[in-house]
Amino acid sequence: MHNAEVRAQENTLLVVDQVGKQFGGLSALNNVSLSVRAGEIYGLIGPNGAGKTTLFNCMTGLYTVSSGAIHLNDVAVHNHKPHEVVARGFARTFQNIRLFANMTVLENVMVGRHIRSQAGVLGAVLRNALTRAEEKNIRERALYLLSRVGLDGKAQHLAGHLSYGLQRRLEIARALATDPSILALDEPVAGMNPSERRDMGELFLRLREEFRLTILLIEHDVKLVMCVCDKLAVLDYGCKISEGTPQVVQRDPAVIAAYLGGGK
Amino acid sequence: MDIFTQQIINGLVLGSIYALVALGYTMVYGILELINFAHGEVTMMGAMVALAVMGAILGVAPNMPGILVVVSGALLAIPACMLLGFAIERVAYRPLRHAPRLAPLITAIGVSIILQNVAMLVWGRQYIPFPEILPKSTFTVFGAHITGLQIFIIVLSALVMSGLWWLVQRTRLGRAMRACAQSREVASLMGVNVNKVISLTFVIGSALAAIAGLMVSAYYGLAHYYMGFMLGLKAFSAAVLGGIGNIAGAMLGGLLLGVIEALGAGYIGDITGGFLGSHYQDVFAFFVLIAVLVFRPSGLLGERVATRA
Repeated sequence: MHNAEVRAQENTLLVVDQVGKQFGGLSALNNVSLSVRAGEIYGLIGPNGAGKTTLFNCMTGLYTVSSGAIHLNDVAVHNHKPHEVVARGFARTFQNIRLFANMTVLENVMVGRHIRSQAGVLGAVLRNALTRAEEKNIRERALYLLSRVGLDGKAQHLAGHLSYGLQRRLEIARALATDPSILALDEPVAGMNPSERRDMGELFLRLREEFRLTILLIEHDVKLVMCVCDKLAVLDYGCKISEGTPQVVQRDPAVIAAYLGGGK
Repeated sequence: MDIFTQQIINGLVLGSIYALVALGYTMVYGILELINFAHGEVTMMGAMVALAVMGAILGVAPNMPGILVVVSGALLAIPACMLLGFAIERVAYRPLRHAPRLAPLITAIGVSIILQNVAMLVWGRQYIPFPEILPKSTFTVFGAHITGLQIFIIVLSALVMSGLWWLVQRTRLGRAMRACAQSREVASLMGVNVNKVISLTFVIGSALAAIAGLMVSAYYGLAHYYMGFMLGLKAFSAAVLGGIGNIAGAMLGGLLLGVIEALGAGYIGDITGGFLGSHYQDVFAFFVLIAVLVFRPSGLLGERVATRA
């Protein structure tokens, strides 16, 4: 794996430092630390309720953290507004698909371009050359992204009318429209059959190369995770119980105990 | 003179004013699920500010062309209302964004009363006449009389509404508004500054309200501090009639309510054999509203989730 070695020498992109999150008395995350290098596909696994999505929500500004810090490209992003975190280069998809169902496929992706464009009320009213050019760029970029995730020809469909698998792909295209340096995917292949899962795995690898992405992946599908991830962290009851290459994590007794129970 | 055509035209004029105000209610509701009861008072403020400006201009230059005076009034009233709408959201609603839904509703009623009282203190309790400076020309269409002002109101409303429709459907800001209407949380995670979109929604709605306020005072020839209440109530009803949260619904609901009201005023005497006079037109309009809602609780175009903005 020559590529992986080259990437490993590159800079750390995302640092999660001792992050804790309490909901009332419940501790959903407990001193979780991760560091993700640029270009990695970093898997986040763990039983249901382990705190994976909570961690995503802390990273993307949806939740404030109770303690600790999150840095993206050496800039603190924790406790910032979601749109500020997006501006810094962090995009995500959702465990339960959350598209703008009543907007077209194209419009969904165009919303993703919002942060990378600026036309306001004035531009809309004056309709000057700059605004028109920007609108054209947004549209072309959105169409290009749709083609990259395999949604060519669906641009004018209502997002809510797409099949489940295509909706997942649309969420990815919408996230890519924000020009992220890191893309966080929350169970992107849940509910798909094995061949669809394989396609999605290939899509992730392809997108990483083309957009020079770093990918954070929450996933239960062990086979997919083992195939595409360079590194894994395992969460259980809000604590990181293991971290390393898929091969190392797979053999870690703590992980086996967490997944199979018991393990005294 | 053909009474039916006449009432339809009168109704369309009134209806396009209702529609402009209804849009402000429906846009805010679409994004925040908040009924901004202060919106009627923003309309009133638009009329009052415009009349004050026009009065001041006429005091200095009594021979200025009437249309120029009215345009100057509008050019000051519109930004004033935009600022007012922005301030109302910022001060009264944003701090309550995560409060239970009744809290901002009560606040809205509070803001509405405050604005009425401010207007009363500044301009007094009396009716303020709209200066007679607009040219009076009347045309006859299909046996009905239509004034230049009426034509102007209908045309301007149509222009403003098509502009708004285009803004919402075809521009970056409009997309962001529609995205926020579907999910503020997801929109923010896709990089939309939700607070900014909400502010702009209030500002745009208030600009429409200012235009409507000026229109209504020109149409009835007067303005007063309490005019926002009934106008707001009618416009809100129009928004509900069309399906609240739905922009096309607000336009349709406004026009329809105007026409129903005008027809009611024209025919209620005949229908009831003279028992009820034309001053019962409001009763007639609200009766129709209730009847529609019984059969279509979500309004004419409302599916609540469809094309909300």
